[in-house]
Amino acid sequence: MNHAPILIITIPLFGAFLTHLTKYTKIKRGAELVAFICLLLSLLLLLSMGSSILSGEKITYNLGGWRAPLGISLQVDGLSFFFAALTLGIGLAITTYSLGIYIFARRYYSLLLIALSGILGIVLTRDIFNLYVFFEIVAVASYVLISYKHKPRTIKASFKYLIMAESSWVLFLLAIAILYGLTGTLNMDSIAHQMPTIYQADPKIVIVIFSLMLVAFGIKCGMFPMHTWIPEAHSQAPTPVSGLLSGLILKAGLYAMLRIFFLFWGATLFMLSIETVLLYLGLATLLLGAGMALAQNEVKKLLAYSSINQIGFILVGIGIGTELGLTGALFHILNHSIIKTGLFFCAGIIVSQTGFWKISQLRGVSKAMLSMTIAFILLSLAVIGIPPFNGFVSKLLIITATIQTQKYWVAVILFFGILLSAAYYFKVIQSFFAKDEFVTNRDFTPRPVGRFEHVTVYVLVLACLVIGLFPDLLRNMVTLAAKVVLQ
Amino acid sequence: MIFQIPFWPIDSLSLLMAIIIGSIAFLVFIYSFAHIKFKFVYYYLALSITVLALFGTVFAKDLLTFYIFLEMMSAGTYFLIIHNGVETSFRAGYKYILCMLIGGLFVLTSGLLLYNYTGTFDLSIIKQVAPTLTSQQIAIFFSLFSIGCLIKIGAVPFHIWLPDAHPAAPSPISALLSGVTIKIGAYGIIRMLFILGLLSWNLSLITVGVASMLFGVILALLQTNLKKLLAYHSISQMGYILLGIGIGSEIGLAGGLFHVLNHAVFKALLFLCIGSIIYVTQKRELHDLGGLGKVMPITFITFTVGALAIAGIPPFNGFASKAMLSASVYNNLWLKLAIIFTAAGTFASFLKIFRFAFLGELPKTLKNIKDAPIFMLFPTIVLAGACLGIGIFSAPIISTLIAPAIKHIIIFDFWNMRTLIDTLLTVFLGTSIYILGLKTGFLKTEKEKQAPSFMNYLSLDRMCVSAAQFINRSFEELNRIHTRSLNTHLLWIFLTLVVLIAGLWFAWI
Repeated sequence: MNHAPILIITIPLFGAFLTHLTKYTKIKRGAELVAFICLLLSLLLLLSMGSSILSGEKITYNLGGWRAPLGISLQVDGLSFFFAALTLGIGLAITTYSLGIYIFARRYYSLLLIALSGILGIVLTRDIFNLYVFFEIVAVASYVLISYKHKPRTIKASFKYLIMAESSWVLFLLAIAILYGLTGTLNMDSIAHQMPTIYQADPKIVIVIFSLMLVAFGIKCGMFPMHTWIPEAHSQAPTPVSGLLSGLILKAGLYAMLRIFFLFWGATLFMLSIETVLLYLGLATLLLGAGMALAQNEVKKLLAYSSINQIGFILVGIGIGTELGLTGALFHILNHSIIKTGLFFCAGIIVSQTGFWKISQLRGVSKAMLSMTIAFILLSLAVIGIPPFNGFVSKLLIITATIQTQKYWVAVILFFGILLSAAYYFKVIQSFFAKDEFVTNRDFTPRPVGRFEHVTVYVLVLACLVIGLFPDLLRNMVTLAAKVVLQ
Repeated sequence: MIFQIPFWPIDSLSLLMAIIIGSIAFLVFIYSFAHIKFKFVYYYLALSITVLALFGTVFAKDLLTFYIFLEMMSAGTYFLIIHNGVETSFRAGYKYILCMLIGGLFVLTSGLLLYNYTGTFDLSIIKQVAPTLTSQQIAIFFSLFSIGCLIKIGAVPFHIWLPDAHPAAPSPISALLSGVTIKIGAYGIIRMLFILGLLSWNLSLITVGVASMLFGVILALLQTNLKKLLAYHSISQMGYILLGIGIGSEIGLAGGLFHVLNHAVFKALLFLCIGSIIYVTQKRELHDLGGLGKVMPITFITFTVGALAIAGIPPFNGFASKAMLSASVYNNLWLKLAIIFTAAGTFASFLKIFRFAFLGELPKTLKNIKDAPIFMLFPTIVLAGACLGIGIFSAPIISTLIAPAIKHIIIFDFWNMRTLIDTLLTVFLGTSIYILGLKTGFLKTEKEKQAPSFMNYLSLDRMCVSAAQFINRSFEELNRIHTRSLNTHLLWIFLTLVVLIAGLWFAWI
């Protein structure tokens, strides 16, 4: 039996404990090395399955040899592969970025590895309770990561995230309990198999399960009106953790939505289909995120609301329900992870170097930090959707899908969202170029931008440009993931 | 979905546009060597990207590629406009990029609709299947597409970005903007008219054209800022081009296309001359200047050539294209009157510049100035030569460049009684407007602080800005009332759950 699926999850998990043991060795910066090697090994294992996955195969692994309805099984299919590759890629970028920041010790790398292995578990497991456990692992690791700096405001933000995320897991657990009571199994495929009979027996219980899950995952992915933890957690977390939150943890919520909703209720069971619910909530999320971002005066908060805005875009793409819309949504998940991680890195460098976090204080910063300003501009052009960057391709796919399904009013709202996102990003860009004399904080000794930070940011910018110019490179992976969702 | 970047086998229309873009961009580059004093890498990078994107738009073989390059061009131009890094340029740039994105989204929507109808973005295939489309489909597509293009052109009523962007940009960029960038919209409309076979009397385009002509020239007469004055003239000259396209006859279309070429040449010339004046004197208001003719003789001569060309005085190039345009509307008195009036107004506003910038007393602060450096004079001399050359050899240029582009043979007699009378009438009327304007105080040289009048509230610019500010303010209000209390957020979650369950419950029943 091919043990790759379980190894992908467990290698980073073991690595998390190994990082602490490096204290007893003489290796310099052992924790970083362990984190790096573990993630690379996982990535290699994942890519070794790549060719068979991309040809449409599914690799199933039964834990302990117990078969599906009884035991826990892991499955790598197109969708899982897409998300696992994204997780490992962004995870590597986050690790590289963190290398240059010396306040991050063993504990940080250990928690980072736990969070990443949790996300890998989320995307690979086929057991719904196992999914819950992995979500909890990610959540617990990220509570500590957000408050890593032990300042009152980071602890406050982390506490808020803790309360909201835990309340979402309570709802999810309730949904799982109801499902288990009805079906007697926790395996996703078996539940999906029994779903039509449950629906016929009592449609209302299905509505309750769906609503519980929607709210649970909605909190996780920042859907309106459950978005409220995002701005504080994203802006108070250490920079690489903001990247982790926006790039991967929000996306884990979206993955769960894509996987479970389409598996359980793929055939339209409701009169008001789940797609319509997602579409309306997505539009609300989009407008709220864009509008609130326009009103922000702190860079990291602006980026956090911009994440909400882009999540709205993705939800609309899912809500359209056609294959093209889903492809666009999945592509936007990928693009947004790359772009937003890069933007948080850039903003983090600018903020930590100057000691200023308000846009009005950062006027004229381009003189002091030219290369980061350029990277910020390129990445923000990408997230607005200006060609030839990658954000354009995915937004184009989503808009094409709306027009093909003749939902013109949706397209108009999407355009409004794009304009608003241009409005707030260009507001930041123009303040960076202002002629005002840029005064750095005198109490603060500026730290030169480390080479690891520089390299990571520019690799992400390059990725944006390459994906934007040659989107065909990723076409197979994305369309396959969309097909898996719709099966 | 197509993601590659396909190009035409270049046809004559693309070639004509490419020649205009290439030559103006080349001269702008030369001019910039002397004019631009700081942020070189930034400036030349943005300029190169913009020029590259401009070439891309005219070589694009499908609508998606056209859109992609259009957006690249807008983004590149934005960074050029804010090059100065002062507050006015940021404001203008902000307005510019938002207007351009709106225009771009119109073009994109039209392209996607067409993709829905035909299943392709490829213009050559669309040309083949165009007759199978219903007239309603064509009307929706073409109106969306041309609104997008008109926003890019800056035609009335979509001109709000133009009078701000031109003065805010560095002078070579104003020349590029006015000479080339706004022409891309006209190119798009002409190309699409050919593709769809809609070449006939088009009342809406004519209306927009005439409105732009009159509105542009009247506001130009009122301006005291040199660059703003030229910017309003760009609106009015683009009106001529739209009028020619809207008339749709061979002679009108040829006149419009010829005017694209001519306007690029003389407007770039005028902006570069004004740029030299601003570079030398550091002043851009008319009342601060005077007597420059003596100290800047070469700029004076080249500016005169440009001014005569834009007013349509023979033997310069503006005369040739305006003669063709006025011939194409000969049977329509109103259009004829609009053309004559616009030409006269143009003449009058340039008389004003001559009187108050080049003639008269040299201000004491400007005693020690010299003419602009050679890198800045050379492009203006070349362009002035081109004005004269195109004017004299207009017949061969039309037969080699314009006629193949519209696939018709154009034979036009430039020198006859009618064109002569038109010219004399223009000069006479223009001079009278100038004299009358000075007498009545209509033509000013100094900007007055105006009390907010009723007319101000009717201004389109003000309405759009107010709308944008309203949106901004309402979101700020939303941000203010958006609670930060955790308890309330938990309540929201709970309420969402209740609403979802209740909503789905009743929707199901």
